[in-house]
Formats: sequence, structure tokens, C-alpha cells
Amino acid sequence: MREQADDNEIIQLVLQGQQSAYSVLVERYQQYVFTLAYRFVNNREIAEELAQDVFVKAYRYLADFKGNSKFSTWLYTIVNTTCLSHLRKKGDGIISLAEEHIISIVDNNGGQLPNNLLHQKTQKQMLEAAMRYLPDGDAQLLTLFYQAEQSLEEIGIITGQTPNNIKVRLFRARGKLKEILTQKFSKELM
Amino acid sequence: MKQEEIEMELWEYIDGLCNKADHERIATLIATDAMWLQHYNELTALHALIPKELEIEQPSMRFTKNVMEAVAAVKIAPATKKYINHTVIKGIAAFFIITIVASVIYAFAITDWHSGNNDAYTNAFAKMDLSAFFNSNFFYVTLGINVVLGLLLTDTLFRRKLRNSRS
Repeated sequence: MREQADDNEIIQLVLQGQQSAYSVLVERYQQYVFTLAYRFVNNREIAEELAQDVFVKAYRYLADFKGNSKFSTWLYTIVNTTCLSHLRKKGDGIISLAEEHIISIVDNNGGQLPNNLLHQKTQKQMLEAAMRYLPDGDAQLLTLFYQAEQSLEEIGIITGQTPNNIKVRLFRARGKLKEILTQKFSKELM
Repeated sequence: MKQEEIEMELWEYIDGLCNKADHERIATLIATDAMWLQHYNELTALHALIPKELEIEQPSMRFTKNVMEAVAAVKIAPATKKYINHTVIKGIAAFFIITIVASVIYAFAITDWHSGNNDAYTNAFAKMDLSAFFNSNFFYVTLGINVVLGLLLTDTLFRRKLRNSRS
């Protein structure tokens, strides 16, 4: 609640002409915005460009932020629409370099990851890899729920869906993640 | 109960989204039923793993500086409420509604309800001389604008449906 009040105070300062105050909001939310964008595109350079676009758009339309929701919810809505526009322009079937690398290793190794890679994998790496296998939208949903700590209602606002739809999607995303972890990384989980 | 249904209920329990009665019922099931307990343990392990191990990604060190350089050249757009006057929009909507209602009332008013034949409605509309309206350029321009607006609205509705079905 305090941070929400701080966000609104900073926004008022920016709207009154103190452009430098905007850097506080950028510092506060850059990691979450970048992480969300990264979940969409799985490429650091593109994610950083998109994140930068998001902050520029948010600045341009700052006067339209009414304060009815949290600033973070409004900002993540911009992330969602910007990233989806980017993906639509690029077309379907984008495979990130990281995924191509993994696929190529698996292909060259008879359909399995080599042993040294398996042993080096920490739980963190497994979870990151498993997230990349998730269908479009599921990884972002989990990021919004667990890392950006948005409620179902807030995620509904961000994605333009009802909270009930979000609840069902979240259930399915978790189910898929569990399945991927069990099927692809069961040895490491033991 | 199917596994999917059990897991759905357990997630509601874990997320604190179920009501008090369901919360107590599920807590009892977890305490007394081995299958429910097993599923509960699996789901809570996953629920704990995600926020613990999933990292927040860090952008480059120059990110804030890059953003501030980019916004330096940008002007904040005025709030839409300053240039979209809702009173004007409501007025236009009221005009159309009043026109439609007035037309209907006029049609009913000139109808001969006691004529006793089925041509009452036809006669009523036949008495209305609309040729002046249908022959005017104003009518064709208005019709054209309405057709375009109707197509835009249909496009928006279909795009929204497509977006919802994809997600």
C-alpha cells in the first residue's frame, strides 16, 4: 500500500514536469518488466528492447493512469500488449537461440541431454528450462502470479480475461509445468 | 473423484480461494485420505519451488539510463478525458435513440388500428413520405459512415474472440 502511494506521488511529480523522477519507477519495476518480456521472447536482447519500449509507452501515456489499479498492474498490461504485438509481427514458431541450442544438443545426442549437462543442472536451471517448454502465455502467467505477485483479478485486467478464466489457466499451466518437470527432469528431481 | 478435480480443489485450497466450508472439507480430506495427502504434498512442493527457484531476470546495467535517454525526447500525451468529451458522445447516442423512438411512435400514431384488415401496418408506412430522405446525399453519406463503423465494430469483436480463443 505504501509503495502504491509512493508510485502515485512519483507519477504526480513526473506529470508536473520532473522527468528525472521517472527513473525511480524504472528502477523499481525494470526487473519485473524485463522478466515478463523475457518469458515471451526467450531472448535477452529482444526482451531488453521490448522492456525499454514498455517504459517509453508508459511514460508517454502516464496521464491516462487513473490510479484505480496498482501502477504495476497498468504497467504489466502494457508489457502484455507490447510483447503480443511483437510476437504477432514476427509470426508464430519463433524459437529462441537458447532453445535452438538445447534442441540441437538433444538431437545430436539421440534425444537426450548429455550426462555432463544433466549433472550440472540445478533446480533453478531445470525450472527455467521447463518454463521454456510451456505454451505461449503460461510462462508469463506463472511469472505474474509468483514473481510479480499479482492477484487473479489483476492478472485478469492485464490479460483482458475474467478472474475465473485466469484461475483455470493457472491450474492448467501448473499442471503442464509439473508434467514437464516429471517427464523431462525426473532424474534431477530425485 | 478424478485426479484433475482433486488437483483443482487442492490448488484453490493452497491459494486460499475456497470458502470456509470447502476449506474445512479439503483439510479433513488431506488429513484422512492418503491419495489427497499425496497430491497435496506434490502440489505444495511445486508451489514452493516456483517462487524459490525462478529467478527475476536482470536487464543490462545501462537499462535505466537508456530508458531515460529515450523518454527525454518524448512528450507526455494529454489524458484522453481532456480531448474526448463523454458528454458529446452521450449526446450523439441520445440523438439516435430519440430519432428511432420518435419514428416508432410516429408510425404507431398514424396507424389505423380499427381498420380491421392486415394492411394496417403497410398503410401506416405507406403514408410516411420518406423519398426526400432517401434521395438526399446526406442519407448516402450517413449510410456510408454507418457501414464503415459497423465493419470496424465487427472486426474488433472478431479479433477479441480470436485473441481469447488463442489464449
